[in-house]
Amino acid sequence: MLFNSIDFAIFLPIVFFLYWFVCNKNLSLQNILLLISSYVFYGWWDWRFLFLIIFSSYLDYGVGIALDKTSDDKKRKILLLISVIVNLGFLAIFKYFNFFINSFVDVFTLFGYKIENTLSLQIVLPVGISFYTFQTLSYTIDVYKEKLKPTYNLVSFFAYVSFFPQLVAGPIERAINLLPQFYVKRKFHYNLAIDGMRQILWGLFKKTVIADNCATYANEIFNNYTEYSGSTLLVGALFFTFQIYADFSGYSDIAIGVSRLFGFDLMKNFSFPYFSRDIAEFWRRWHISLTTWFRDYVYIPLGGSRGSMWIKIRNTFVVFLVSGLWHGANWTFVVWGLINALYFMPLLLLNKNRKNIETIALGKFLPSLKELFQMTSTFFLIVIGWIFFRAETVSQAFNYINRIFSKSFFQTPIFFSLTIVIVTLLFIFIEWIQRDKDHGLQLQNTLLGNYRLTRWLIYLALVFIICFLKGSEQEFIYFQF
Amino acid sequence: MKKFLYNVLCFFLLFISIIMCGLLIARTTNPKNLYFSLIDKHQMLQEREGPRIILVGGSNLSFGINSKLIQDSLGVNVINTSVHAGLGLKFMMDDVVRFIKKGDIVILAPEYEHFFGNTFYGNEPAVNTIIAIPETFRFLSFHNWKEILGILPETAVKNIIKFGFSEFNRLMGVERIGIYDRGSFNEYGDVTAHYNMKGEDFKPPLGITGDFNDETIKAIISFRKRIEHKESLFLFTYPCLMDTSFNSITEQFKMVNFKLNEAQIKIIGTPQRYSLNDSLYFNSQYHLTKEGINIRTNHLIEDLQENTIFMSHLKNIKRE
Repeated sequence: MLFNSIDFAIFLPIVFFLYWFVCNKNLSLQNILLLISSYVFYGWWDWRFLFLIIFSSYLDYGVGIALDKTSDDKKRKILLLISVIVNLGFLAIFKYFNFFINSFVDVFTLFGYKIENTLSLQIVLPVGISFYTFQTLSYTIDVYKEKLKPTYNLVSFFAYVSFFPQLVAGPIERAINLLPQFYVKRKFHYNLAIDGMRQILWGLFKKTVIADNCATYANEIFNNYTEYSGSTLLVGALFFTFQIYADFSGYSDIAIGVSRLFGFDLMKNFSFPYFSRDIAEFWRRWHISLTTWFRDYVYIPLGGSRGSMWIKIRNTFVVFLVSGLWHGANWTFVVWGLINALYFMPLLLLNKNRKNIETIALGKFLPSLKELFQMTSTFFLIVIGWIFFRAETVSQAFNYINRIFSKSFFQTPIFFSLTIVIVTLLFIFIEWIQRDKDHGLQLQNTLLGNYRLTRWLIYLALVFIICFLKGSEQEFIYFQF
Repeated sequence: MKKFLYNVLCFFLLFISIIMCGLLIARTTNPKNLYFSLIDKHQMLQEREGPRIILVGGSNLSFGINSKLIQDSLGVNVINTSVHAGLGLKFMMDDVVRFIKKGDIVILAPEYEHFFGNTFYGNEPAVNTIIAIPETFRFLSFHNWKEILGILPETAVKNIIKFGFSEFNRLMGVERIGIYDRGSFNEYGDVTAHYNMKGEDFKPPLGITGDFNDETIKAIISFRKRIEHKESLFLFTYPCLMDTSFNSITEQFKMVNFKLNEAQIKIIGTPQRYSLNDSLYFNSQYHLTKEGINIRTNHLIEDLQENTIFMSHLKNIKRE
């Protein structure tokens, strides 16, 4: 079920009503309702996906209890390994099997050996598998490290793994943050719920107006890139840059907003990343739940930034390469990860990777010239990276970049739709104004937000803009991951 | 919770009120608009005597057929029921079937878009037609509802903007005779208002988005059965389409042709036959100029005359 569909518009109020008016007296009932709703939400795509998520949940639930019942280190390690191998095994089969087989065949072909590829599987990738796999893994690892008490409450654990607002595209919630919220009675908070509604509205605007419209033009340009001038190819890369941000952060906004309606608090997943002054800052602001997951479960266990410079470099490359591969079974994602690692290197070597922690130009309307230059150059590097992310093959990405920097770069670009360009610029402006807030529509303590009339006019305008300018309905990009 | 529900409800009611205003503006302020033309077409269907040919489709027919030419050539009354492709093919077929009389020849010519994605279920014009003629409400299926609910706000806003412009023009004393008005149709149901106008400079859209919609074929089969049940003849023909657009949908028209043949639909002509030179189009890939209309109509007449089923049916109904 897509957030931007009529199905969801009907589904959400029904669940909300049952949750607060029918099951409100009993915590277990509320959790059961959330679990059933989540399975309906997920099964809406394909009911067969449910088998995998139920198996994965049951395995980690069982491993958690088994870890609690034994203090033998060897047994505990084996239990952890079972969870890691089975979870990553599913991911390997459903997501990476064909990729590895094809790459294997390609390597042999390169050296002149002809191998018949008969092993490729015809399997459908279950939506959001990478998200819930990482979520369940975090539970087992945290229980193993005794950072978290395992749960004996089957319904709570299953509801945590499948919690519908964030099931298919995050934020990837750690058990340590989300699971305990299933144990305590939820109270309805007016301010939280109202802000949740605002965040949902802002997320819908990002997804349906910015992302879906940018997608139309980005797809056209990337699919026919040989027919366009260098300047238009750059416009295409910019369209994709805003598409992926608005699409993914829009999903996160809706997920966080919907969770708030049910009394849950999810972690922030995006913090205006395109206003970053360097790549390190970008990665602290982009897909925060994944970045911190890799930091805590890959980078730090590998030694983190302790040890020699060589270890730091190795760990950084490992994290970025794995992060690239997490996004998809294609060499383009691996190269994208590699490029980001290379971008990161100068900061790491000069020990400047934690230089820009504060929000840019905090308390000011405009950035300084230096900040503007830093922001623009970082943005440019990100755009180049996204070309690899969007391209079908690595060679296509190189050709695309090559064509951007050809003579035709000086031709007048095609912008396709002036309306969408203007709306996108307006969106960037609002994001800039709101850059120290949680989301673009957080109106507390703002001039316009102080009056109900202006607030409601803004909401109405946004609703009509969504209805009027929405692009053709497209799935959220990150579902495929 | 009470405060939250109260605010959400108030906002929702405000939103609905604006939509209702936007939708009703179309009905109360402009009974001359395109969507009311279906009333005139219903009247033609009720009053015109047989033998008759009834054309069903989108604007490829309203802007693409000279019904008088067909009537003069074949000696049967012709009623062109087409208004807009956005009514949705399902809506058009359900609307017309109740007027079919024994012996009628129904020729269906939907746009290619009706076979892909959700165009089959209709969009904005369907909403405005329902507002103009509320009795057509009953043709909405559950799927139609789902499609139409999503476009209500957009339709309302467009109506409000159009209303604003028309009021502005009225205040300024500017009377515009549009080609998308109820008055742009002649007594056969063809648009003729653009006959003496210069064609517009426009870029035809390339390709068609969306997957093949099998519901379209199922609905056409069901429509054929309902027509044949009334002892009438059902035929299918292809829409006229600009060469440039046509060349961009090679795979799609082959698919349509294959599916129709598979369903054993009686087809008049071929897709290629009705793909005409770009210079013959007025302001859209389906809207022909007067010259284009005559070429397309002559193609259709020739194809009908070569069709033995049609000719024998025609002979029979003329005899009766």
